[in-house]
Amino acid sequence: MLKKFFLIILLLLLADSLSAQNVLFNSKNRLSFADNLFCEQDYLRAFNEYREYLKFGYNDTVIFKISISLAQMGRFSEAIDYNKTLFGSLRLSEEAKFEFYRNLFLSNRINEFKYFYETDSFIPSEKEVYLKRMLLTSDLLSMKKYNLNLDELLKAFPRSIADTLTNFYKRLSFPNQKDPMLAGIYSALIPGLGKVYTEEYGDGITAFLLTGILTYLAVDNFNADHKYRGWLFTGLAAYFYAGNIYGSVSSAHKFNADLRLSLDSDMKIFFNKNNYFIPKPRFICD
Amino acid sequence: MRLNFKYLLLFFIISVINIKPQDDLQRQVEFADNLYHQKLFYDAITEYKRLLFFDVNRTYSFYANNKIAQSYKGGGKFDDAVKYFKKAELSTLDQSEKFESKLEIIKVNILRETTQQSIDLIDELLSEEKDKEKVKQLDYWKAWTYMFANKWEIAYQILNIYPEFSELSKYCKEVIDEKYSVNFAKLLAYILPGAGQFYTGEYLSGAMSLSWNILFGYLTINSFVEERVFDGFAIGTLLWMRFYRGNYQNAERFAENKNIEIANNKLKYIQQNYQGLKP
Amino acid sequence: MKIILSIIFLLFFLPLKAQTDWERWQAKEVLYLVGKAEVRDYSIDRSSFGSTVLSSIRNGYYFLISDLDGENCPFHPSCSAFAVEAIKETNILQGSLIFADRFTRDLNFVKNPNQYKIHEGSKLFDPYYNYLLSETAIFTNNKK
Repeated sequence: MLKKFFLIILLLLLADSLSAQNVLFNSKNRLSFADNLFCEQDYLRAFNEYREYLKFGYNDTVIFKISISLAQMGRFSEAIDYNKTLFGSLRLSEEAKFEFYRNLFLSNRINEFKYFYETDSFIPSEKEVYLKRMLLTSDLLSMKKYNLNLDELLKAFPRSIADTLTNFYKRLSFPNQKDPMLAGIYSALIPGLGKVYTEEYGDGITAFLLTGILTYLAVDNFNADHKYRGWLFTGLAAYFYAGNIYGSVSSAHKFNADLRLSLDSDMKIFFNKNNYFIPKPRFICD
Repeated sequence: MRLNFKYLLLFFIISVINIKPQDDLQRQVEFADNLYHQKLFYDAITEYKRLLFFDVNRTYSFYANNKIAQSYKGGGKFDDAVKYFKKAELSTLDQSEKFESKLEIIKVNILRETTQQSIDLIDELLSEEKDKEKVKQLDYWKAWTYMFANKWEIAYQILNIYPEFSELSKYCKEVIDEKYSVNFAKLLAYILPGAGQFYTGEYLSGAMSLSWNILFGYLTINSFVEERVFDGFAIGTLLWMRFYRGNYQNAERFAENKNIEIANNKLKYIQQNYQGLKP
Repeated sequence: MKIILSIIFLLFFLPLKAQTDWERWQAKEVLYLVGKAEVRDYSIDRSSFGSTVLSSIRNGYYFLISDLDGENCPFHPSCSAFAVEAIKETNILQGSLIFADRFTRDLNFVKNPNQYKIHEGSKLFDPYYNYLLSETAIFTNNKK
């Protein structure tokens, strides 16, 4: 009898020393610590803790939170992999699917988005509107006007931003673009005129003066019979004349690119600031 | 009798289990410290955070926050370090611990070269500090702040008051003595092109500067002598003036660069050889 | 008790943006430095014969003229580096035309503040890829 007790004690002590991995590291505590890190937005640490936790058993909420942690850190493709594993989950399949679409959208994998969206017959109606918004936003951000219909756009987003959206839509046709060809022709006629056309007035005047002075020097030297100097300045004048034509064409390109860039950054800032008009993922702490 | 023994045993086991939580925290501290000493700062922070999370009585809150901050500092993440030193300061009621945290914040500010913040903090503490020993410490860190801001004269003046800091003040004096005078270099260059560069030891650059200036100076004067006024103006403004300006800009630049080098060398020496407290 | 605990937790874990820790980092030794002395990049590009010649010419220009005639260029990259890059990325003809245009813009002493971004606080950022006659190149390179 006594022997048995000793054995039990020994076993208990053994079990204790085996579990000597601190109580702090048991699965329950690991989970609560991980949740805390998640709330602190310390996502990489939370992610590691959740993964350790999963070694003890399956938990779909944990997998969901892992996917959110990854997405928050910008690791979208890994997040998408985790999202996919939850499609069969009882409680979280809808949410996981929505996060899946969101991650595809945020990582700019629009073709995949469209493919799944068109073949998916299980999209809940309350999420439908948000998916529609993602699609329209990505069309808007890719600046393909022919894909877009203003009425559809206005209908999909809150009424309060109708003016901003209309403004973006109008800017998409770039009414103020400059024609590079025209800029080149202007500069060929009068040096610097092309730059004036692309609204670089200072550069235009400088180009005019530079070519003018070099031409004057060339003519003056020929008149004074300084042949060598005459040809030198002729060459320089021709070089800068050609350079200015090239510069005017490239200036028109730059002007147009700047229009696109400013629209791009305006739209991005606007949508980013408003979280793309999509609700935040579940479980995220404020 | 046997039954009683069984209960006794059970009681014993339960009590062992009951003691455990405190023991676990202690083990966690050791675990985290171990990571910290191995310079695995990222993981150390995770473990200190775990410690903080389960330490409901806040026994270790100052210790762990302080260690997290030190870990961030060890990874060169100074902003986070300051944040956690602040938390450490807020988590304790002990005045000496609070003072220690403030000193740590000052040290991080020294390292990240946010001079003004460091000086403001020190001055704020100095204004209400009566303890001579603490004033001395604050002055010491003030001197370090100025050393990192490349203002060795002020650092020297502060350190020179205390005989204990004679070694550091000696280093400051050495830097002050070794440094080139930027204004003197410029003045030399104004008077004779290239002379400023010679003063800072850049002989080749000085000689080339001098030759360009002689050449274009000669061409300019020659053009005027031969009454080619347009050429004279063109060469004078476009070439001679350009190289003359380049000459005194270079003198200034070389002197400044040399001074930075001198200061950096001294700081490196101090980092490796000085035994006293360092930020 | 629960309330007290949660208050303690709240006090303790003030929400922190932990973006520094979104990637693992290592210990880093801090070097005591007061600043960095400027050093001119004299490296020779040996990737092709043309680049070797070009970068040698550029180095000669640096050594004989640019290092001695003071601070003249308001742009980054400087005119010589810009020319070398432009020629390398396109061809000698287009590169020279791009350089002629840059030189003209350099001469313009009333610079349009909206035309260039600011580089490191003082210089105007003017990279070659803005002048390749391609709107897409400008757009993709400048996109944030």
